[in-house]
Amino acid sequence: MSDRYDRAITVFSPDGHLFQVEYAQEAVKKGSTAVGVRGQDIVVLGVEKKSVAKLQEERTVRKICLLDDHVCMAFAGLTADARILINRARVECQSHKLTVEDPVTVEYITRHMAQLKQRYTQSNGRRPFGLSTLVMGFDYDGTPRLYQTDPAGTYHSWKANAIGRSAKSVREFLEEHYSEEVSASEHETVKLAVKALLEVVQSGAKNIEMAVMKRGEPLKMFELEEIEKFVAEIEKEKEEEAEKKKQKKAGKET
Amino acid sequence: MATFFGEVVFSASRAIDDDDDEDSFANENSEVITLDLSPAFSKTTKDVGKATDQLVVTLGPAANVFADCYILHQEKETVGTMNKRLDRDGQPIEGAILSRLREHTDVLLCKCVKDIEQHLQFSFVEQLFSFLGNSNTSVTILSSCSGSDYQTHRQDVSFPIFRCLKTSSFTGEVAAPHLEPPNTISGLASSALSYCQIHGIPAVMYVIYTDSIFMDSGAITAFNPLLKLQPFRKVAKKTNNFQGIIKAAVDRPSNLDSLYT
Repeated sequence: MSDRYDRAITVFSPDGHLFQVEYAQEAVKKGSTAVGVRGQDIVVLGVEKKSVAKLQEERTVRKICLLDDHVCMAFAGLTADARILINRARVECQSHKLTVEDPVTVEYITRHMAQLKQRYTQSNGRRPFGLSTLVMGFDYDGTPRLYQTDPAGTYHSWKANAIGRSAKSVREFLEEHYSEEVSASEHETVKLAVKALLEVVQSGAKNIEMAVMKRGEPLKMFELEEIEKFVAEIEKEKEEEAEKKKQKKAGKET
Repeated sequence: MATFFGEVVFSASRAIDDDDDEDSFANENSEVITLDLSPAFSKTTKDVGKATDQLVVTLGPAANVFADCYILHQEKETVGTMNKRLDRDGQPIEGAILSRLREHTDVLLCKCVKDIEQHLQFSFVEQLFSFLGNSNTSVTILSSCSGSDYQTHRQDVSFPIFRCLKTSSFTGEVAAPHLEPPNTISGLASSALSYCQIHGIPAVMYVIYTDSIFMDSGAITAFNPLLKLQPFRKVAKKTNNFQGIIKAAVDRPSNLDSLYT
């Protein structure tokens, strides 16, 4: 039945589906995982790094991009669509700054991208953008923000979220482990993002990229050594927990 | 036109002008597939056939990697190869490898490393089963298909989808739900299963429908329910290099895949 409603995205199916928009959401699942966690004084983006071909310049394969000095985003989905959206967002950030002499708020630029995406779900002859984004940053009043957009053009504010492959299991992990205590500590916020990524990234620190933004500071990309420290700490905690469980079990048996 | 078990034979279109294709058709007619036994087994063909209780045929990258991870990493001997040749005396191109484990000589594994063209499939199946000669052999076929071939009215499908089809003489337990109509299987899996149905050989075919055009680890691990059933329960041992094999299979094309980030 669905094949009669695929061709023009402006056509609803009898049961209310816009299949092209739903297919675009499937395209997002083909991108590697991206995680965002919002703390009280820090916002963190973590992505599963794509393996790069031998002759390819690694720095040209990036999932985390700056939109302005205080706003950053990660995406999952079609690479080419992301490039177009990022360029439009960057231009809008500068245009806004020149026009009203204030930097954009994170919500403003997220809404701008979401509106652009929605327009492409309603125009004839155009297909939706095949990507979801996590937009993070600080507003000029110092409030940390994390937003997520999807191909339909919806956007929401989140405390922590994941997009891309296995996003559902990462989101469930975040729901289980996120707390106000964690968000109060910068170190714990970053560790939560790393832990969540390690649920789906098999090979450890070398396949993870982390970006953090603190209030009043520019974006910082973590070096491999810094990520490895977090991974080692997490693995140590896991071992300690496993050891405790073992002892508890041995204690019960005796 | 359909034959047994949903095997669909695609007839050539009369709308195409065939003049330019004469050469390729000529080649097709002379292409053969031959079973070439290893020197150690060339004189003991009947013994191998008699000794084989279980035949496992793996088709496609996901099934092949699954076999590599659980079976082929163990000590094995190559019984022979099914080779494609342009003509009887041409250079052999390896199409499938027949091997068995030293520890379990009653299980024969046929790993198809190349696609077998439609016009060679019957010959492939016939030679394989003639070699076995043992009507008590039970057959398990593992294959994979593109998710876009899977037809369903349900909106909530999530890939990979694991299904099976079996012959009427197969009475054992299956590890997956039966493939629902109107879905059909084509290709070598269908040829083999049809052959088994005609000759009363107990056989079951498992298929994974995957939505990725490249290999992904989900498609490989989707075969895991088989590990609880024979013959895998007897012979399967997870290799120590499990992650390494999966990563090598998954990473190869993803380096070239810049469509999604």
